[in-house]
Amino acid sequence: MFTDMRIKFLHFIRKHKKIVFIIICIWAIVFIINLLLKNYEPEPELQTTYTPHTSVMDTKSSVSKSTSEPIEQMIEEYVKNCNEANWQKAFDMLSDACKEYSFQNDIKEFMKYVYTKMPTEKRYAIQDYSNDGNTYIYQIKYTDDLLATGLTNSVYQYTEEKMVFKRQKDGSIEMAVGNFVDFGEIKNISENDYVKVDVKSVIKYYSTEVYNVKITNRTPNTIVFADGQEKNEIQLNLKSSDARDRMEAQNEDGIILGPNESKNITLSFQKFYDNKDDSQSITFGAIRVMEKYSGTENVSEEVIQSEIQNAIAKFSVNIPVIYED
Amino acid sequence: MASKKKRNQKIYVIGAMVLLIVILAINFGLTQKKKEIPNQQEQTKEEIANLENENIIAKLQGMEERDRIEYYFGMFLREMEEEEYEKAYQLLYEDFKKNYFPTLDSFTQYAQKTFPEMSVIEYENIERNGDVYILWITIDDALKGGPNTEKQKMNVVVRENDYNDFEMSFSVI
Repeated sequence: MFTDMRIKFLHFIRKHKKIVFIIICIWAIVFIINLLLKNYEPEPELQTTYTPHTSVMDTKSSVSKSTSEPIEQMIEEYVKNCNEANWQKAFDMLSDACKEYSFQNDIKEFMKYVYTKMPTEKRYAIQDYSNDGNTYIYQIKYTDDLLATGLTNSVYQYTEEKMVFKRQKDGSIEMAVGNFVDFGEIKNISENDYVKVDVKSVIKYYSTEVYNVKITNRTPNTIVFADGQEKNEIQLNLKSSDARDRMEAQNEDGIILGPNESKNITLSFQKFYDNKDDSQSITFGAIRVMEKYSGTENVSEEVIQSEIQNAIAKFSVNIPVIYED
Repeated sequence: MASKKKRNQKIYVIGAMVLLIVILAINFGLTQKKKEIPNQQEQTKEEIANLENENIIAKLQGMEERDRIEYYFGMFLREMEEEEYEKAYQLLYEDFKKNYFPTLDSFTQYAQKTFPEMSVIEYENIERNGDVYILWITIDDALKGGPNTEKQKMNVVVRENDYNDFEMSFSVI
């Protein structure tokens, strides 16, 4: 009986040798996969809320490894240079635009700025704040070495700044500090018989835009651009139809030109670079050509209003501020 | 006759398939990683420590970030409550030790003087700065303290490198 079974078995194997071969192959593959799986036990990754390369403003946006790695290296080198007072090396790391428009190409200005953020040796923590095309904005927090002190005889405090990294066409990455983001030449002019307004350029910081404007009085009269007596005297208009008042308005006497006078002025507006609402134009909404102007300090409201009513001309000027990168 | 032969072939094929499935099942069972728990008597100190570490890691993996950081400080306190000052000392950040407790003795003296035999901790706040966590806590003496006793306020700073791998420091009072 046993012989009979053996003959039948061998007969079966011979007859179905292809199927048997395939089954053995499958078994061998499954065996090997099982062995590999047994030895493969992935290390559980530490789960934390710290995601330094994922944007705070848009958690769906993160910086690729090929960009985040050089950015991390640049930040590390920059902070190291500042901590070790290698000012020239740190300054040389910045983009030409940042050096020129944030620090007037003056290393002393840069040193003054660094002292406001890092008066002593600091540790730092980075966080991707927002990403816009090839521009990556990181927030850097500087602290003392908290672990080394345990906050003994001190309180938890930090300074912070935005650093901006721009991937250039050649693949290199430019770095800017001090919240500097961009510089743009605008060169838009608006003129009439009374005034000439030349919006020359803009320096964009993370939270403000500073416009350089040249204004000229073409008359023998005093011209008031802004003195706080009219609404919406100077405003930055955004794409969304929202408008921003200039920031200097609370701190200065006004923008007033004497007969045939020219002035270079700066107009600052609060605007966050990553709010996705581009600046469109600046409106000088209440330019007044005055027959008589006594100013606004220690002058009665009655006189002020009377002088406004007797103005030779009152008009507004709107100048586009869009520029090409 | 031919149909009988065909039926036999089918039976053989089905039999072979069943056999294959059985082999695969046995094979799968054999290749599963068996976590052998060795006899307690045969375990070395290192093995016990490894097993404890594995258990702690498994526990930490199921915890939220804040709970883990508080757990680490709890570990530090437990070591001191059990007078395992050397173990507690090892949990401290190197530069912190250099700054405030250059020797184990100096730390032991401080810990005996400052930390209660049994502590009640209140975690008031936590902030994260990069990979460093700052805790604001109050410590009360569970044995001698009462509702009117003044609690010690303290900051604790922790950096978690991995599960159950951390460095810490605290504000020296």
